[in-house]
Amino acid sequence: MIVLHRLVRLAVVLLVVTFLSYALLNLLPGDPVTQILGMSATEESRAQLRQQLGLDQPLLVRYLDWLGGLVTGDFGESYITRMSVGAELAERLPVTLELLVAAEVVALGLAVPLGMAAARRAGQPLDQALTALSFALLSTPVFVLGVLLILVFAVTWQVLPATGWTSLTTDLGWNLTSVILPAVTLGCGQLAVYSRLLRTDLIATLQEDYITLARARGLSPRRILWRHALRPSAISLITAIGLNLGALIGGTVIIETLFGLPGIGRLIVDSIFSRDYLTVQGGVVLISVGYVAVNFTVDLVYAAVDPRIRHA
Amino acid sequence: MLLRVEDLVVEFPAGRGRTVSAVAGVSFDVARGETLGIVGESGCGKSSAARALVQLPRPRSGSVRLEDQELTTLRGEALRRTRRRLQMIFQDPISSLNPRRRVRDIVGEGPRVWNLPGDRVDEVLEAVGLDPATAAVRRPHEFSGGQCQRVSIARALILEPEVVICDEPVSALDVSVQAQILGLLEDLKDRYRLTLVFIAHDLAVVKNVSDRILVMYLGKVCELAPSAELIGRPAHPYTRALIASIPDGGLDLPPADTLISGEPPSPVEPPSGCRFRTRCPRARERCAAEEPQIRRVGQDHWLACHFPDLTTTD
Amino acid sequence: MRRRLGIGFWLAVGWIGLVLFAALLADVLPLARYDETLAGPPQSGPSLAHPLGTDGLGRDVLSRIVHGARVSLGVGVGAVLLGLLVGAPLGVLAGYRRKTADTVIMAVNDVAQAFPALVFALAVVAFAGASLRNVLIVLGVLGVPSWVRLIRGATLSFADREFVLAARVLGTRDRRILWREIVPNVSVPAASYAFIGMAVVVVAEGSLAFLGLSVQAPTPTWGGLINEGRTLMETAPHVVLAPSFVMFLTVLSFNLVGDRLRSLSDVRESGLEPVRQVALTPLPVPEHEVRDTLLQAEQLRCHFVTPRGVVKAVDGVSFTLERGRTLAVVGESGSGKSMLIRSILGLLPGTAVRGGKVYLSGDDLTARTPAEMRSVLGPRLGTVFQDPMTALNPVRTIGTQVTEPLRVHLGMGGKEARAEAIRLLASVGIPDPVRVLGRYPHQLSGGMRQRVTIAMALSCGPDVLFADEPTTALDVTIQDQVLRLLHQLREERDMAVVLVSHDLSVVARWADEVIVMYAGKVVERGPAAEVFARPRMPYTEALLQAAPRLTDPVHHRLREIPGRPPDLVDLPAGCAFLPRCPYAQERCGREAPPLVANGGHPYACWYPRSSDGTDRLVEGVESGGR
Repeated sequence: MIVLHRLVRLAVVLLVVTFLSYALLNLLPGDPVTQILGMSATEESRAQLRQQLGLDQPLLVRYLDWLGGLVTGDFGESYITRMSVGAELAERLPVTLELLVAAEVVALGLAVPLGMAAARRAGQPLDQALTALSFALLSTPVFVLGVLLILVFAVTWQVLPATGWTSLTTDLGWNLTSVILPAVTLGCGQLAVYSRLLRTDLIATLQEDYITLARARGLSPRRILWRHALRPSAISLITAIGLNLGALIGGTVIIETLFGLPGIGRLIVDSIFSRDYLTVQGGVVLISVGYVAVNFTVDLVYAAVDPRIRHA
Repeated sequence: MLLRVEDLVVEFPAGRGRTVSAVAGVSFDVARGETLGIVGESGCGKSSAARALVQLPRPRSGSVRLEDQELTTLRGEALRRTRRRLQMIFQDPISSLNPRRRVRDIVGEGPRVWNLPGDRVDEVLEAVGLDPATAAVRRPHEFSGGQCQRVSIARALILEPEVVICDEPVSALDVSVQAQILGLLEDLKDRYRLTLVFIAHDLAVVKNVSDRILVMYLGKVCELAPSAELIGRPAHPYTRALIASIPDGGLDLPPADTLISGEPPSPVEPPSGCRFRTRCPRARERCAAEEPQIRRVGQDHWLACHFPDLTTTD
Repeated sequence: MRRRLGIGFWLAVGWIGLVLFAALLADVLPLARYDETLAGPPQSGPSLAHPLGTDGLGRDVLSRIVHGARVSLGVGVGAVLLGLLVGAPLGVLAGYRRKTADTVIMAVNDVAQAFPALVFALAVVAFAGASLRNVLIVLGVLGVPSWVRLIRGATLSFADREFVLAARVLGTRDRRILWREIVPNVSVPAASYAFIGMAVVVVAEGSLAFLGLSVQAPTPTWGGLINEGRTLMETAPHVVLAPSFVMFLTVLSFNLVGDRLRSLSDVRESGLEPVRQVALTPLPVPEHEVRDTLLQAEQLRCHFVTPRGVVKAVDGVSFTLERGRTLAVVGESGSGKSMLIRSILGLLPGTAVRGGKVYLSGDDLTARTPAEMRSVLGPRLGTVFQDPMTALNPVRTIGTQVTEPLRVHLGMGGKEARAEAIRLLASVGIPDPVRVLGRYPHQLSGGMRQRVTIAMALSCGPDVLFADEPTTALDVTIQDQVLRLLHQLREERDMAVVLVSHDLSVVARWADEVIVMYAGKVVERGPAAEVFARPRMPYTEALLQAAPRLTDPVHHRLREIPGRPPDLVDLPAGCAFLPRCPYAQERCGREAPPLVANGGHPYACWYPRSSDGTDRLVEGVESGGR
C-alpha cells in the first residue's frame, strides 16, 4: 500500500523532471539547425530541416511525442549524428555503472571500519587523525584529487594507466586496472562523508542507555559495537548514500573526462558542446531514473534496518 | 464562573486514517480565585485539555468560555485579544525559554506585544524571587531548572492574567526545588489574585495546591470533588487505585494490586462503554455496554461510574 | 563561559581573509599581469620574481591564481547569498506553516533534487554563455533545494518547542514569532551551512571551469588553471600543484569554519564535560577490613577532570549489603547516586578516575580487568535502568535481547535459550511471552518494557540487582506493579537489591536500609524506618519536609530548602550543605563533618537534629493550612 503510494509519487517526480528538462533544454539559446547547417545556410533549407526534424511543432507536442517513444524504450534519434540515442546510451551505461559501483565499494568498504574505529576511540589520537584525514578528503575537489593521483601513480610511479578503458568483457585484469584510479578518485569524497556520518551517529548511540546496559550484562565491546550499535547508527549513512548519488553522478562527468572513459558523463559533455539536445535529454532521463530508483530502494532499506519505521 | 468548559473534545490524527481520542467530552468550571487540579497518568489527555483551553490547537468540538466570552469560535485578532487574560506555564523549564534571548527580553515580550509600559519587568522578577540586577541580562542556560521555571512564571504574570494554566510545572524539578515553586505559586496567587488550573501526574502535589481535583482517565472525567473529600473519600475505582498506588500514602485503602490491573489501553481504540473497565476489578457487563454519565453523588462531588464504591461516602 | 573555537578555526578564518584580501586588491598588489606572456621563462620553477613559477606561456602563476580567486570567491559568495535569499524564506515558511505550504514546497524540492545538478549547470552555461553572471545564477539556483531542506529542518526543530507555544499564548503575532523566536535560532545552522555551501560552490565552479565551461579566457579561473596545468604535469608539476593546493586550502577553510559554527548550535556546554585525564593517578584507598558479606563498598570514589576543575561525583562511599535485603540510595539530581552504581559495576566513562574497593563475597572487583569483570556482570550483578524505552535496543527483537545473555554467559543453544526466555518473561508477569519474543520494544507499553528489562537483568540469576530509578519514567499505577514485582523476585531468588531513587515515599515503602547522598558524599545511613522517623542530618530532615504527602492538609506549606544544589566543582571547604542549612554554625564552614554514629545510625553533621524528634519543628516549618 505504502509502496504503491511511493511508486505513484515516483512516477510523478519523473514526469515533472523530464518535462522541465525537455522544456529548459529547448528554451535555452542555441539551435541544432544552425549547428548542422552552419551559419551560412539559406532560410529555406533551415525551414526544411526544421520540418524534417519535427522542430516546427509546438514544445508540448514534441515533448509528448518524445515521451511516447520513451515509454516504449525509444530515446529518439540524435539531430546531429542521426544515431539512435538509446543505443548510444546503452553502449556507454556499463562503463558509468561500473565506475559508480566501484566508487561506492571503495567508499563504503573503507568508511564503515574507519568510522567504527574512530567512534570507539572518540577524542583519541586515532580519531583525531581520521577526522583530519576526512576533512582533507572532503575538501579536495575530484578533479584535483584525480590530477594528483595521476601525477603520483601514472606519471611518477607508472604503475597504473592515466587514461583509457578496457571493458569488462574484453579483459578482466585490464578492466580492473583501468577502473582503480577513477573509482578511488570518485570514492574518496564519499568516503569522507560516510565515515564522518557513521562516526557521529555511533558516538551518539554508544551513549545510549541500552549500550550501557549491554555492558552491564557483561557483553564484549566487539559484540556491542557490531550487534548492538551499528544498525541503529546506520540510518544517516543510508540516507546519505541515496542523497549523495546526485553528487556522485556529477562527479562521473568530471572523472570520465579526466580519465578519458567512454561513459554517460563524457557523452553528455560532448553532446552539450555539439548542441545534441536529444542525447543530453536521454542522459538526464537515465540519471534521474537512477537517482529516483536508488532513493526508492533506500526507503525500503530503512524499513529493513529500523523496525520503528516498518511499523509506523 | 470565570472559566467554563463544556464537552471538550480533542483529537489528533494517528496515521493511516485513525485518530487519537485525547480528550473525549470533558466538562468542568473554575471559579474566580480557585485552584482546580487536574490529575491523571500519561496519555489521559490532561495536557491536551490544557492546550485546548488556550486554543492551541483549537479543540475539535465543545465550548470554552472565559466569563462571557466563547473562545472556541473566536478567530485571528479577536482570539489574540483574549490571550492576555489566559496565560500558561509549561513543564520543561529549559524548552519553554528561547535559548538565544536574555531574561529581560523574555519577560518583557508580553508588554511589548501588548504595547504596555515595560517598567514592570523588575517588579515581576523580584516577585518570583529572582534578583533583577543580575538575572535580567543573562540567558536561560545560565540558570538552573528551578530558576528557569521562575522566569516562565514571571513571563506569564507580567500580563496580569486572570487565569494561569500550569501544565506539570514542577514535574521536571527536584523535590527541594519543587517545594520552592509550589510555595511561590501559592504566594503569587494571593498577591495577584490569580485563578489557577494546575495539571500534574502526582496526586500529592496536586492535593497540596488545589481546592478541587478533577481525575482524568483516557480522555474522560472520572471524578471531581473538593481536594480533601476526593482524597479522603474516593468513590471512583480509578481514583481509589491511584491513591492506593502511592507508596506510603498513609491512607486506609486495600493494596493497589487488588484495585487495578494491567496497563492503559491505546487512546486510538478506547474500550467501549466505560474506558476504565479493562483494568477495573468491579467491572461488569453494563460497563462495556453503556458509558457511565457524570452525576452528582455528594455536595460538589461528581462521578462517572456505574458501580462506585460509596461505602465511605456520606 | 565562552566557547573555544580552536586554533584551526582562526587559521581557516585567516586564510579565507587572506584570499579575499588578495582577490579584492588583485589589481593594486605588486604582481605581474596575469595575461602577460613571457613575463619569465616558460615553465620555470619558483623564483624571487615569480614565487610560484611560470606556466607554459611564461605567465606568472601567482598572479593568475590571485585573479582566479576573484571568480571562485565571487561565485562562491554570490551563489550562496542567492541560495540563502531564496531558500531560507521558503524553508522557514515550510517548517513553520506546515500543512499546504509545506507539502507544496517539499514536493517541488523533491523534483528539484532528482535533477542532475551538475549536468544542468553544464548545459545552461554551455548554451546560455559562460559568463560570471550565468555561472553564479546557475550555481545559486541549484543550491536552493538544499537550503530549503536545511532551513526547514532547523525551523521544524524549534517550531515545536514550548517557547514558541508560550509566545503564541502571550498573544504574539506570527510575524514577530518568526523574527524573534525562530530566526535567531535558525541563524546559527544557517551561518554554518553558508560556509559549507561556499565550499560546495567553489568546487562546483572549479568543476565547470575544469571542463572549460566557466568564465572564459583570458580571465583565469582555478579550475581552468588546473586543467591547463595538467598537460605540463610531467615537465612542470608546480603549474598544476600550486592552484590545486590553494583551492584545497580554501575549500578546507570554508569546511572547517562551517563545521565549527555548527558545533556552536549544539546543546550548550556547561563547562563540566569531562576531558581526558592527564595522568591516571589512582585515588588512595585507606586501610579497611574485608567483611564476610555479599557486597561491600569501601571508600568508593569517582572523579572527573573537567575544564572547570575536578568533579567529585562520588566521594568516599562505604556500605555493606546482605542477601535478601534492599538498600536504597536517595538523593537529588547531581548527588552522585547513579555514578555510585556505575562505579560499583565498573561502567564509568573512560574519563573517570575511580578509587576505593568493591568486594563481592570478599572478591575484590576493582582489581579485575574489564574482560574479567564481564564474567561477573550479568551472572552475578544484574542491572535495571530508569527509562525502559531507552534501555532496550530499538532495532532488535525482545527475543534476541533476552536470549543474548543466556547464550553468551550460560552457553545455551538457540532452542534452550528461547525456552528459558519464555519462562523468564512469564516470571516477570508478561502475558503471552511467546508472542512478545518476536516483538520490538516500541510495540510494548512502558510497563511491559520495564518488565522485559527486569527479565534480562535476572536471566543469569544474579546475586545483586541494581535498579537505578526503575520506576521514575512510569505512571504511578504501573510503578506500584513494578516495585511489587521487584520485591517478590527478591524474595523468590534470595537476592540483594540496590534501589536508587529520588522518591522518598518509594524508598520508605520498599527499602530495608537507606543511604542519603548529597554532593557525592553519604550524609546519613541506617535502617530506612529509623532514618525516616528520626533524621539526624538537617538535609534529610529538610528533604522529608519538602516532599508533599497525601496525608498533609490542603494548601499545606511545604518546607522550602533555600538555594540550589551545590556546584560540584566549587564545593565549600566544610559541609557541602552549609549554604542551605538553617542550623549552620561557624564550625561547619571550617571542617567537613565525618560520618559518625553516636549511639544510633551514622550521619555527617556537627549539629544534628535530636534523636527524639523534639526540636524538629523549627520556625517557618509549621504546617499551615489556610
